[in-house]
Amino acid sequence: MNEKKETQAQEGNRNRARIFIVDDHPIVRDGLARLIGKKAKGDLMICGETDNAVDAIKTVAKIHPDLVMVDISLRGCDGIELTKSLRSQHNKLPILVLSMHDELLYAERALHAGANGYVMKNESSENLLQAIRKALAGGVYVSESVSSEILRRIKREGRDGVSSPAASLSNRELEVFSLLGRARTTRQIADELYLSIKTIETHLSRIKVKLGVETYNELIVRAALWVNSETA
Amino acid sequence: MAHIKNNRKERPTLGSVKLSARRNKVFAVVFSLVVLTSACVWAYSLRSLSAAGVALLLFSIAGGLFYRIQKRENESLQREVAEHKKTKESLEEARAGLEQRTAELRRANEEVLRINDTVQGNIGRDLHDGLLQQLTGLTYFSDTLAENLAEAASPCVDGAHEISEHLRRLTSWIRDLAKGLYPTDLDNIGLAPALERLASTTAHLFSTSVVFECNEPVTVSNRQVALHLYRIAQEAVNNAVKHSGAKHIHIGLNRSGDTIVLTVKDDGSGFSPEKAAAGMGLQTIHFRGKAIGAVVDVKSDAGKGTIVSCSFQESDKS
Repeated sequence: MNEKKETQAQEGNRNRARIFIVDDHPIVRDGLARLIGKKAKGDLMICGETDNAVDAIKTVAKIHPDLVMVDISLRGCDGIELTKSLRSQHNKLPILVLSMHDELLYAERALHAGANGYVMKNESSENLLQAIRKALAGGVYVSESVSSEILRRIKREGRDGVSSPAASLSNRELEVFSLLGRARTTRQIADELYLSIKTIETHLSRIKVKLGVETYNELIVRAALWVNSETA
Repeated sequence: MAHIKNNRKERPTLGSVKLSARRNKVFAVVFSLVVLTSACVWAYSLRSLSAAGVALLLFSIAGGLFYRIQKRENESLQREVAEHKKTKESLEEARAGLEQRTAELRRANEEVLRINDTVQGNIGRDLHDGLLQQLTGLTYFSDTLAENLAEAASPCVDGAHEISEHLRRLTSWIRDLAKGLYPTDLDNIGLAPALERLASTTAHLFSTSVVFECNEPVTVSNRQVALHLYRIAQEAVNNAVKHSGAKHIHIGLNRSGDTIVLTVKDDGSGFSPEKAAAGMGLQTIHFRGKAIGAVVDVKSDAGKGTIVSCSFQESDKS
């Protein structure tokens, strides 16, 4: 009887996505663990936590979590650098960056470093869980305040006329754009589409011109937002 | 100071004293020569030795007389010169003292501003890295509690949701507060975007229309200069929303040549010059302007709003 229960529990654990938390505030880690343990006990579980980047890199390599949540401001090494290191070692690992800032710039940096999402710490718990699930499914999540800032920027710069990707991009460009929005690197896009990196870069610069986007970081965020709106 | 000024007015200048001495000397020589010549002419016309003797006697008397006058004149001249020297020295001493005091005062002002910025920065960082994170953790706890209560079909579930809601609002309020105390934006996104955020945060916090305008990209690479310009804008905006009841505020950051001009305009109640002199906020604006060598101008009329402008001339070091 007991054995059966254990197997069931193990199976339950096996079906749940394992999340590793990196945050240097114990109360935040504890709060997150409780919240996820309560509100998403069916599909998510916390498999470990740490307060520093060095420990995070070691433990993630050892226990292979399904997703890592990284606080943007860690003592000693910031979350963006940690995201870069984790991304370089684990190509497919979904990484969510948690932050107190609502500035677009931080979201851009996080996504550029290879994160699959950027979540504000004071967002609703529903949004937080949605972000986790989206990243686990291979998508990209960006906080609402960040995406509205991007929309404000587009409006301010009078670029609304040229901003619809589906209307202005060729099929191939749209393909590249949507893969970019799914947190793929240039190399990954090239591999998936059987094209050279150079060709992908040409596509990206053409997309930038067509959408009136100035920086690569902004392009990533725009792509992520577009993928979000298409899959919503 | 007043005493030194009076002294200067009463006494002739050193130059004029020297000139009059030279004039006296020339006059003495010419007069002696005239006396000698006329004595010689007289003696010659009489063709008499005794007359020549009288002429010589007259000449030596005149010479002696002028020698004495000259000597007395010289002495008084020397006294004058010594006094002038003394006055000049004490004037220079006073000026040096004044310059030193001014420099000390300026250093003290800069130090006060620096300490103020440091203390504010520390409080802002503590709020951001400490209190805000604690609040975040508490919000997650409260969300979990609400979930537990909902599961138990407790009537308290709404209360728990309300607590979560309040905690989130408190978090965003403290985040804005921390940002005001320590503008992390300045380091991360630069002056112009930081001012834009100042505009949107102020509009959000005080329900006022705050517009930021920057016609062409303006970058200020010197962090100290950027911080002072940001603080000047912040202070002016603060004055406008808190004391003038302004409905519209306009923040402008523009460049003409190598001059960066920051302006904050409002349509509030304005103030009289006396009131402005007493206000700490405006004094701080002037101090900050001085600290970076900028020209600050505050125009305000009661009932007509206020314009604060700050022109900063960029040099190689900025």
